Amino acid sequence: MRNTRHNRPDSSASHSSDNTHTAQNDHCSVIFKQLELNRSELEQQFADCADLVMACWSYGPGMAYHAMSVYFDTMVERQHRDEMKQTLQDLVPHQLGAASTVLPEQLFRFLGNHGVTSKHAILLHSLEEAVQHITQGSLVIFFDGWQHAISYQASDMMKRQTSEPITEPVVQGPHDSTIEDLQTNIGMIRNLLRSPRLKLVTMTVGAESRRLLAYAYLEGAVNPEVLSKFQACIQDVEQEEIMEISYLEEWISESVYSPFPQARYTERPDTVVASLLDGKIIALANGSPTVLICPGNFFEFLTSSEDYYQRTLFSLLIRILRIGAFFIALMLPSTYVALSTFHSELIPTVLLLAILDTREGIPFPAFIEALMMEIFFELLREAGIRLPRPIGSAVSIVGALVIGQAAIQAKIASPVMVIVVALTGIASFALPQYSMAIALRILRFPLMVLGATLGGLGIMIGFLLALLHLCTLRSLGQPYFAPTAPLDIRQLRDIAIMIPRKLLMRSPRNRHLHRTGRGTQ
Amino acid sequence: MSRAVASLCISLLLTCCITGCWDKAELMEYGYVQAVAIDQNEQGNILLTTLFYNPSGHGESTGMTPQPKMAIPIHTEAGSVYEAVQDIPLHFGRRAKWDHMRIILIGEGAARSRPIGELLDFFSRNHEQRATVLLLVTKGDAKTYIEIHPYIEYTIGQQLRKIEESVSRYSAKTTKMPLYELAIQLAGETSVAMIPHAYLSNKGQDIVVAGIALLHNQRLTRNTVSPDLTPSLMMLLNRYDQGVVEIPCTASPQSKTLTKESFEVISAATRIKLEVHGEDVTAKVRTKLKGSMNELHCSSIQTVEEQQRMRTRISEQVSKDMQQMIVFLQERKLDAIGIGNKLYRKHPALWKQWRKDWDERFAKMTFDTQVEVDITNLGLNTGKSFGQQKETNE
Repeated sequence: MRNTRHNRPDSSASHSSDNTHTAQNDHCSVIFKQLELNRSELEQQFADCADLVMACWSYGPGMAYHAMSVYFDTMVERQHRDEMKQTLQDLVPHQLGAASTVLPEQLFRFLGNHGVTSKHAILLHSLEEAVQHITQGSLVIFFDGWQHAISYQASDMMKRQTSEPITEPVVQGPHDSTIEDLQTNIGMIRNLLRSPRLKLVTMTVGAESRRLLAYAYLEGAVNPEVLSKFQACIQDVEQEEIMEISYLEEWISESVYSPFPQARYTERPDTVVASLLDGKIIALANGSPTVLICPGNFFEFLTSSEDYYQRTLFSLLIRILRIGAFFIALMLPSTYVALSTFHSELIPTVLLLAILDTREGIPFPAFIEALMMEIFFELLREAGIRLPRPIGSAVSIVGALVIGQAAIQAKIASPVMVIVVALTGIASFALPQYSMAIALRILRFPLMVLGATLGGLGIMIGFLLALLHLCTLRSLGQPYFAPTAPLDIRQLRDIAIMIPRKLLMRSPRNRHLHRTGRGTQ
Repeated sequence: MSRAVASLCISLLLTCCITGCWDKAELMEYGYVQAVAIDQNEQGNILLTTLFYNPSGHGESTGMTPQPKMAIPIHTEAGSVYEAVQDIPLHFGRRAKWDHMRIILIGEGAARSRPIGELLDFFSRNHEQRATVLLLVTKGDAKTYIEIHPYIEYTIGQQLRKIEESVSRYSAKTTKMPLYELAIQLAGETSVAMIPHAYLSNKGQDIVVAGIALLHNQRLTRNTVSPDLTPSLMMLLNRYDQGVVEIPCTASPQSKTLTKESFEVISAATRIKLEVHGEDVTAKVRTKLKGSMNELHCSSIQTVEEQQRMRTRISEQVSKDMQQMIVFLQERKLDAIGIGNKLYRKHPALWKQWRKDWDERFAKMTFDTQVEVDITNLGLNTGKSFGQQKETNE
C-alpha cells in the first residue's frame, strides 16, 4: 500500500521528497489532482471489493468537467447516492450560477471556503482519510483538478430497534435497552444525564476493524485516580481488534484468572446513568449492545436496578433472599456431600431416616452422585443456551428426564440429590447478574471436592480461601470487597440491607459528597 | 500469579496434614441404631438387642403383600457391652452408627444385678453417642419391648422417646432422663438416681411409660414410684411442667362412685428451703401452681368465696399428695428429692458429719409443705358444671 505512492507523478503534492513522505507515514498522502490517478489508487487498495462503486459523472459547461463518487454499495443509503449531484444542482445555481456553467475553480473555492453547509459533509485532504471514510460507509466525491475530496455521511446500516432488556428484565422501571449502535446508546445516556459534566471520550480501535470505542464518566463524581488508572489500562487497546466491549475487561482487571467478574455489564441505560452518578466509568463499543461498568464491586453483582424502584421494605427482603441464594448456589451441594459422608450426626434424625430411605440402592457415593448431577445440569444449561430456539424445547423435555423422576427411578440419583441440584440451579438463577452466577458455578466444584475429602473443614477452608481472594482483589485500584473489607459501616446501608432511598440519596449517590471529592465507591 | 497459585497448592496440600477424624463413609455403609436394649441372661452375660433402621423397609406396600419390617433387631451376647457391640457385624454386615440412637432400654434384671455405670459406660464413652439419648428401665426383659411394632413412628425407639418426652412434659407421670442427667445424679452426694419406668399392658402389645424406677448406689432398687405418685415427686424436684391435679368430691350418699374434679396445671414452681436447728432439719417446701379448671362436677366457681374454697381444696390435695410421696421415700430411706445435695451445698461442714448416716436422718426429717394455687381460667362453661340448672333461689 505504501509502495504505490512512489510512482506518484503529481508535482503539487510532491515538493517534499518521496523518502520523507514515506517516513512521515501515510497520513499526508495527498489526493491527486488527476481523477484518473485517484481512481487507480483506490482501485488498487480496494481490489476485489465487489461492492465498491466508483461512479464517474460530469458537470459544468458542456459537461467538460469530471467528478467521481466512491462508496460501498452495501453501506450507503440508496437515496443518498445522488445527493451530491442534487446538491450541486440545487445549490450551485443560487450561489454560483447554473450547474452547466459552473467552473471547477468556482466550485472548489466555494466548497473550500464555506465547507458544505447542508448534511454532514467533511472536506478531505488525504487519500487515507478518503479510504477511511469510504470504509465507514461514507460517500466520497473526488473532482478532477482538485486536491481535496468531499465525504458525506450516508451510511445506512441496519440496526435493531431498542427493545426490552433481554438479560435484565424488570417489572417496574424503564424498559429501554441499549442496542448495537454506539450513537444511539450514547444518545440514550445523554438523554438521561443532561449534564455538561458527563464527559465522553471516543477512540478507534483495531487496525482493520476500525471500531469506535467510547468511555464516559461524570466529572466530579469519578475518582481521578481511578480514571487515570483506567486510561492507562486501555492505552494499548487501540491496536487490538475488539469484537465486544467485554474484551476490555481483560485489560482493566488486575486478576484475569479470578473467578469473580471485575466489571459489570448492563444493557439498561438507567443502570448506566446510576453508575455514572456513583462515580463509575462506563465503556461502550460500536456493535456491542452491552455497556461495561468499572471498577467492579462484589456487592454490585448482587443488586438489580429494580431494587431501587421497588418499595424499600420489599427491596430489603429481596436483598436478604439474594444473599441466601448466593450461599445456596455456592455451597449447597458441597454441604450436602459433607453432611452425608462425614457428619451424618448433624442431620436431624427424622430427616436422616428419610434420606436413608432414598439413598438405599444408589450405586454411587454421594460425591460422585452430586458431581454427576451437577455436570448433567451444567450440560443442560449450556445446551439450552446454545441451541437454536426451535430445538430448545426438546432440551427441556429431555433435561427434565435426566434431572428428575426418571433418574430417580433408574436409581442413578436420589430424590434428595435432585432437590439439592435443582435448588442450587434455582438459587443461581435468582442472582441478578449473570457473571456472578458463573463465578459461583466455577467455585461450586472445588468446594464439592473439598467437602467430599475433608468434610465441613474442607468447605470452611475453601470458603476462607475464596474470602481471602475477595478481600485482596482490587478493581482499578479499588478494593473489590468494599465496603465490608475494608469495613465502612456507613456504606453498608446499601449492601446487605437497603435503607429508604430518601436517606440513601444522602450517602453513596450524594452529589455533595462527590463534589467534596470523597468516596466514589 | 504463579506465586499465588503455588501458595494455594501448598496450602491445599498442607490440609492433608491436619488432624481429621477420617470417618468418611457413605450413608449406606452404616446401620443406623434406633434403640438398644440391655439385658442379662442366666449365665451373667450381657444380652444386647440393637434395633437398626431398615431404609428400604417401607416401600409402597399394597394390601396384598405384608408390610416389610421398618426396623431390624439384632441380638448379640457377650461378657461386656462393647464386646456385644463388636459382634453386631457378625449378624448384620454393617457397622453400627450410634449417633441417631433414640433410647436405651435397660432390663430390670440387668439393672438390678449390675451397677448401672457398668452398663452405660460404653454409651457415655463413645464419641458417636449423644449424651441426650433417653433412658428407660423396663419391667421384665428389655428385648421384648424392642420387638413391639410402633404405631405411627418409624421405629419403636422413636415412639418410646416421644412417649417419654410428651408424658414428662404434659402429664408429669414420669420424667425425661437423658444420659447426661443420669450422670449428674449419679455424681451427686445422695447416690440416689431415677430412671423412667416402662411396663407392658394389653397382653404385651402396648408399652406404657409411667412411673419412676429408683436407683441406689448405682443399682436398681425394688422401689418404683407409681404413676399416681410421680407428679408429686416431680413437684418436689421442681421438674413439673404441666399436669393434672384431681380433687375428689366430698362423697355424697347418693353416688356410689367417687367423682373427681380436675385442675390443669399450666406452670408450677417449687422452692425448697432448708432450716437446720441442731440435729433437726426442716425442709420448707413452697409450691406455686398456676392453671385452669378442666372439669367441674360438684362445685361451682362463681363468686370470690367459691374460688377461694376451690383454691384451698386444690392446695390441700397437692399438699396431701406430696406428704404421701415424702412418706414413701422416708420409709424406704431414699433421698430422691436431693435434700442431701442441697445440704452439701449450703452446709458443707455439717454434711461431712452427717453423710454416713444421712439415710437415717432423711427418714426422720420434717417437711413443711405449702401450696399456693392460682386459678387463671375456668374454660368456656363459666364456673358451673355442664348441664347444671341455673340456681333459682337467688
